[in-house]
Amino acid sequence: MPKELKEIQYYQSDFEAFSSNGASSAPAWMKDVRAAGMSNFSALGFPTLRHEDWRFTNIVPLLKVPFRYASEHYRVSVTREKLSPYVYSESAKSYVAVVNGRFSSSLSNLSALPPAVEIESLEKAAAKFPEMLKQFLNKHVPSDRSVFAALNTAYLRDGVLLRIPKDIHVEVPIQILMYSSQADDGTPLVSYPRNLILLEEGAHATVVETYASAQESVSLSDAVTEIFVGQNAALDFVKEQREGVNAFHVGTMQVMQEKESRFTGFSLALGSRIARNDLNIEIAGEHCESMLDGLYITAGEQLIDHHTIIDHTQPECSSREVVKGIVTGNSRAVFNGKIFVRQIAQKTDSKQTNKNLLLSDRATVDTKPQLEIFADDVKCTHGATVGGMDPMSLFYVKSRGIGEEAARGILTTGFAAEVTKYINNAELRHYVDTLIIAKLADNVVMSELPEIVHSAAADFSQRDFQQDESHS
Amino acid sequence: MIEIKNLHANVAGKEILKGIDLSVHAGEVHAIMGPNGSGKSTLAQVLAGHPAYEVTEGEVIFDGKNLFDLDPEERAQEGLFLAFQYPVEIPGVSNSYFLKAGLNEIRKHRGLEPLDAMQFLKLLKEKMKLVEMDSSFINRPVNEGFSGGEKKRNEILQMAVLEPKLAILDETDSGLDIDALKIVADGVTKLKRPDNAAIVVTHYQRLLNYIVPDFVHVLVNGRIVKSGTKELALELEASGYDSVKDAAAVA
Repeated sequence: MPKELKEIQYYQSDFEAFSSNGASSAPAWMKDVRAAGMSNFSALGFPTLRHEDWRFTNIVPLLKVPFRYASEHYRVSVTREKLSPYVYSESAKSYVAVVNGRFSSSLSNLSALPPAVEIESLEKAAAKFPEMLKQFLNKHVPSDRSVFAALNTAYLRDGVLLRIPKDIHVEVPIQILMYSSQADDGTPLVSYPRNLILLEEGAHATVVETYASAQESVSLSDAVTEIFVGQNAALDFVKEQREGVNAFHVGTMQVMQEKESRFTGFSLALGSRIARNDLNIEIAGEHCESMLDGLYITAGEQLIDHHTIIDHTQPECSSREVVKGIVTGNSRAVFNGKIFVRQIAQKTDSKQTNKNLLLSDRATVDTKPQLEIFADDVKCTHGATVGGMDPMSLFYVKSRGIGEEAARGILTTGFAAEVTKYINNAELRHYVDTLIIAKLADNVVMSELPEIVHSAAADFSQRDFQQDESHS
Repeated sequence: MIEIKNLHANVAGKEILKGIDLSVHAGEVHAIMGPNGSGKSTLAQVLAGHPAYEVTEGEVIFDGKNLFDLDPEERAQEGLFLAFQYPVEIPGVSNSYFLKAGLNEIRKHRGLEPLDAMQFLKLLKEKMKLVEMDSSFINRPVNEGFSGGEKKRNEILQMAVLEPKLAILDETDSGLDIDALKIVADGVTKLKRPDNAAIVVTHYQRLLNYIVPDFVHVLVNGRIVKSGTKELALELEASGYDSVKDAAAVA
C-alpha cells in the first residue's frame, strides 16, 4: 500500500466516528456537504513534492503525527488565563474564542459589540438560519482542488458565524481567537474550524482572526474562513497566525467581493512548525478594491508557505499585494502569488510584490509571483526579490554612530514597517508591529531592536511634534 | 585633528589612493579638488570606513586614535562625519528615529545622558531651521522619495544634529541648484567653530565661493599634486585641471 493511502485511510477512519457520533445531529444538507468534502478528500489525497502546489512544502512531518479528531472524547482544559496572552487589547470586550474548532461562549467576551452584529457558533447558526447558511456556506471554497479545504469540509461542524447587517459600521475591532491544543493526556489533536464572515451591503468592520496554540502543544489546525464583502461594504481583516513551534497550520481564506466593495487583508504569519496559508480573493463585482498584504517571519526549523490568488473577474477593479518575508535560521519560506485578470476584466489595475530579507545562509526562500492576463487594457506589475541585508544601507546607518547590531535591527524593522504601514487601523498596526518585534527579538537574536515608528502622519512622534509646536 | 600619512587604498584589487599625506587642524576648512576619477570620493569613503575599500598602506591618526582600528560607528562616535555624495534611502525608518538613535549613541560614547523624545524634537527643529527644511521631513522615511537637493540638505541636517569634530563633505554640491547650494553652504558655515574642522570634497570651485576654505589641495590620480590657499581654487577654475595634471606628469 502506498504510504499516502495509509494516511488517507487514517483520516477517513476518524470521519466515520465523527459522522456517527458527535456531529450526527447536523441537518441533512450539511451532511451532504460533508460527504462531498470527504469524497473530494479521498480523490485528491495528500500531496507530495511532485504536486505543483506543494513543490516546496513537504508535509511529511505533519503526516507523521498521529493526530486524532478533537472530539468530546478528549479532555482539553483551556481557561481564560491561557487565552489572555492572545486577546487583542482593543478587542477585550469584542472577541469570541474557538477552542479546537468549537465555539466557546464561556471563554468569549462580546459586551462591547453593538447588538445589531450577529456573532455566534456556526453549529447553532446552522439550526437557526439554515437558509442563510445554505446560501453562503461552502459556495466558493476550492475543496475540489485543495485537499485540506476538502478535509475541513468533510469535518464541517462548528466555528464562527459573523454577520454585519446592512449599513452597520462597527467601530470596535472584532477578534476571532482560534485556539488549538493537544489533549490533556498528550494526544495530538486536529481540528477543523470553519468561519463565515458576512458583510452586508454598506457594512464596515475590522476583524482580527488569531490562530494560537498552547506553546508546546502538538496540534493541527485545518481551518477555512469564508468571507463575503457585500456591495459597497468594507472589511479590514488581519489573519494573525502564531501557533507554537510544535503546532501545524493549514488554512484557507476565501474572500468574495461584490461591486464597489473594499477588502484590506493582512497576513501576519509567525507561528507553527509548518504553516500553509491559502489566501484567495475573488473579485466578483466592478469597482472593487482588494488589498492583500502580509509579512512572514520564519526561524529555527519553521516553514511558512503562502499561496495566494487574486482573481479579477470584473472590470475596473484594483488590487495590491505586498507580501514580505524575514527568513532566518534553518527555516524556509514559500510564496506563490497568482493574479488572474479575466478577459472581461478590462481596466484592471494590479500590483504584486514579494520581497524577502534572508538573514541566514541556511535559510531558503522559494518565490513565484505569477500573472495571468486575458484582458488587453490593464495595468499590471509583479515582481519578487530575495536578498540579504544591503551593505551600503548598513554602512550608512553605522556611519551615524549606530553599532552593527542596532543598525541591523533598524534595517530589519524598517523592512517590516514597509508593509505593516498598509494596516489602516493605527492601534491594530501598532499591535502587529509589537508582535513582529517580539518574534524578531526571540529568534533573530537582535538585542537592540528599535520600536517601529511609522512615517504615516498619525503616528506617535508626529503627535508629539505637534504638541511641541503649539507650545512655542 | 586628523593626520593622514602615506595612505594607499584599493577597491576590487585596483589601487585608487597612491600615497595621500594631509593634516587638518581644528578650526580649518580644507578643500580637496580634482578631476573625475582622481580618488577624491574614495578618500572620503575610506576615512568613514566604507567596507568596499581596502587600506593597503599608511595610517590615519584621528584625534589621537588610529582611525583604522575603529569601526565606522566608532569613528562616528569619535566625531567623524561623512556627508554622503549619494545618501542612502532607508524605507520604513523615519528621519527623526534614525537621527535620534545616532545622536544618542554618540552622546552615550561621550558620557552624556540620552535625549528624550521632547528634547530631541526641540533640537531637531532648531537644526531644521538652519538648513531650511520643512517639518514634514521629520517623519518621512530617511531619504526616501527626497529630491537630490533634499537629500543633501538632510545630510547637512544630520551633521548639524550630530555635531562632529571633523565633517567630510563628499561632493555635497553636486546636483544642487544655486539656491540649494547657498542653503547648504550657509548651514556648513554656521556650524563652523574653532574646535571643529571640515574637509570639502568638490569637483567645482563654485561651492568654495560660499564655503571659504583655508587650504586647497588638488588630487590627481590618487595623489595630492598641489596644495595652496583659496586662490588655488580660482586658478584651477581659470586654467582647468589639465595644467595640474601636466605638472603631475612632469613631477
